[in-house]
Amino acid sequence: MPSENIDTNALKDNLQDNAAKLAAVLNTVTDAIITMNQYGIIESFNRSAEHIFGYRAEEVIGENVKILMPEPYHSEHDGYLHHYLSTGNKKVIGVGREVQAKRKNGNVFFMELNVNEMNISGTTMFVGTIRDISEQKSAKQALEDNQATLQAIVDNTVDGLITIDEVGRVETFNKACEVLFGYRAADVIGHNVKMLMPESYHGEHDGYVKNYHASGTKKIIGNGRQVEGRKKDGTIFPMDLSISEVDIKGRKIYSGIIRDITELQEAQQRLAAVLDNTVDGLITIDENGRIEHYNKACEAIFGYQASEAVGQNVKILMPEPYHSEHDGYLKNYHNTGAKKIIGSGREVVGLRKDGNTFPLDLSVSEVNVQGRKLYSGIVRDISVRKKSEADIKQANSELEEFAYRTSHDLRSPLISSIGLLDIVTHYIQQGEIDGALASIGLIQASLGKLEDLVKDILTITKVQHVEEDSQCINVQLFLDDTIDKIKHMPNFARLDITYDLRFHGDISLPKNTFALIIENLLTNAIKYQDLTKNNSFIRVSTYRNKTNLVLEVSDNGLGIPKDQHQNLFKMFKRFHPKTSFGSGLGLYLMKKSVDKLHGQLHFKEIEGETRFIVVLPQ
Amino acid sequence: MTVGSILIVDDSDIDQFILKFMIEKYDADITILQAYDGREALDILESLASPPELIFLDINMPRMNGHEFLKVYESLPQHDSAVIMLSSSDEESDRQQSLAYQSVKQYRTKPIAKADVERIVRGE
Repeated sequence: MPSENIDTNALKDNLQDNAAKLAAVLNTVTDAIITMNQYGIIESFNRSAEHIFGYRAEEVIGENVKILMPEPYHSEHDGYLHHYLSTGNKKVIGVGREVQAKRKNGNVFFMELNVNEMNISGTTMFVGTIRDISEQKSAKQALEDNQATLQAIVDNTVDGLITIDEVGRVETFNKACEVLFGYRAADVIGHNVKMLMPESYHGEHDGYVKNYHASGTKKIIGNGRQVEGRKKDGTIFPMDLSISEVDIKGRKIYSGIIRDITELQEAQQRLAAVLDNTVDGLITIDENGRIEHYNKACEAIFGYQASEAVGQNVKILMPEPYHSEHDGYLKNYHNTGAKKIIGSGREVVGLRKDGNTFPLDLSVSEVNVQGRKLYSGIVRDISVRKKSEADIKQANSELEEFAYRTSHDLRSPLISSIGLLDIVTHYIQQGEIDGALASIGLIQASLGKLEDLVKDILTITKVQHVEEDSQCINVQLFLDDTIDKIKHMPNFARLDITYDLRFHGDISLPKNTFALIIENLLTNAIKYQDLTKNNSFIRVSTYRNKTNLVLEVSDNGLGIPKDQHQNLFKMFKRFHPKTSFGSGLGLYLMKKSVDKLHGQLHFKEIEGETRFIVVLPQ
Repeated sequence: MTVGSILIVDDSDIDQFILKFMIEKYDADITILQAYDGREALDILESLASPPELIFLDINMPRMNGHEFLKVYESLPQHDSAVIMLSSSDEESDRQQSLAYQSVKQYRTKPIAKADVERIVRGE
């Protein structure tokens, strides 16, 4: 049957032509197309499939399709197939889904798989169309990962982070904010951010937002500032807030970063309190010398209140020449960087508001605060210390002199007595009783001097260390009593004693100390009278000067040699050794007593008259 | 050495008396000159025709003490007398300061024994 043959041949040719066309199409599509029979055996495997899976077509054709699957699908696939063929229950057929596949090199990847069932000449076949979505998939994964990371970062930042939309509604509220404000994120998100502000800010905030939208004027955006926040429990706390504006696809949101500065502020307040209450003065000045800070101790030291001092040039606290030179110092330092006092302490002179100057210890350091140069000075009033130093030095040198002199003056009469006893012995051996008696007389005098000295030394100790209460003393009666006590002294009778008591009432003074002063004045005048004169006199006068009692004792006695005036009130000074052997302590004692009563003792020599003037405050 | 005169410079009457006694017991012919402080000693020295061979000098005296006296004395044109320091001070500084003067031959502390005085007068 040629026609039949022709027909059959034509049909065959036609079919072969179609198959080639189909194969060409299959090999040019980007999707992988795999066909398999009902047993899962691969029958065709196009070029894209080769590309995706890494197998050549001839390697896989005839193999079970499960070689293209990772576990557990690899083991389960035969089961799926059997189940479908026996029950008709479709799992994957006709439905696109994402599944995992395995390349020849063993890599597992995501693919989008569509499976369709074909029936060709009663034989069931399956066609799988596969698209490799691994790149798509990992990009999506990365995005998700990124978001998760970002979320984690946002949640875990120590600082609070809030974002709001253009009308002020909260969109983000991180974990730190939850801790800070005491609200759960869910309580806040979607609400106006004002709920996190104290009442007083509410109106302002609406104003800010409105104003910013209308005029573009930024009040806070882009700058940090200190504001107050309100916790869920109503507590108001200080916080640092910085806001930035973010544009996301034409939508504006505002993000705020919040830091609780309660502790910082408390620390600042504590510091300020400490600074205010230090014993040392603390002054801070700017580059031009203007006082910026001046603590409480400074008020006590300088006498200016902080309100008076702050803003003034620091030179108001300095006497001349520093007052005039200080601006120059500062300028010089700015220009040359040559430090005179910065970084080192030194002793300088300060000026109080009342005009008095005083020694002070000053140490200056340079501080940079936010790009601004400040100088901080610590000042300590050392006038008390200086005074004490001087007092101690004085006491020390007196003590040295005292030890030296007492060792000499105490030994002298003893040594003399020992020598005299030898002489007495000698006289007695020679039977010269008169000589012996004369020497014994000298021994008595010598020991008498020793006794006087010891008494004076004891008095010094008393004057310096024994506290005595004031009592009421009548000046006139007291003078009379003193004269009564001393009128047995040699040559008392030849003196003409006159009184000029312009004040003769009552005073309040420590009696023994006052007695020591008066007795010393009078006994000195008696002891050191000039026996060559026949009009020897003592004149005692008293008067009030302001609140002081002034007592003057004048005489025309021997006086004090001019070159000895500077030694007048020093220990162990004797000016008339031939006239009287005193201990040399009398005037010293008197001076100490006057000092103890906070008074003054002056000495004047006017026209042959010696005058001691005692001024005692009442 | 024959000693014609001795100057005693001491503010203490008693020490003057004791020393004078010792010297006179040794040699009653020696002229004893007495000054009660450095100033008075200088005045006496100035008034003398011939200076004393010996000066006994105390340190602690009013007006002008022993050290001050020595300073002035050694600046005088004539200062040949041998000076014997006789003090109740055994302070090392006093001793050093005194012996630094060329005129000072000895430094003695009180009390001084009669035998020592005699040796000094004999020039031993």
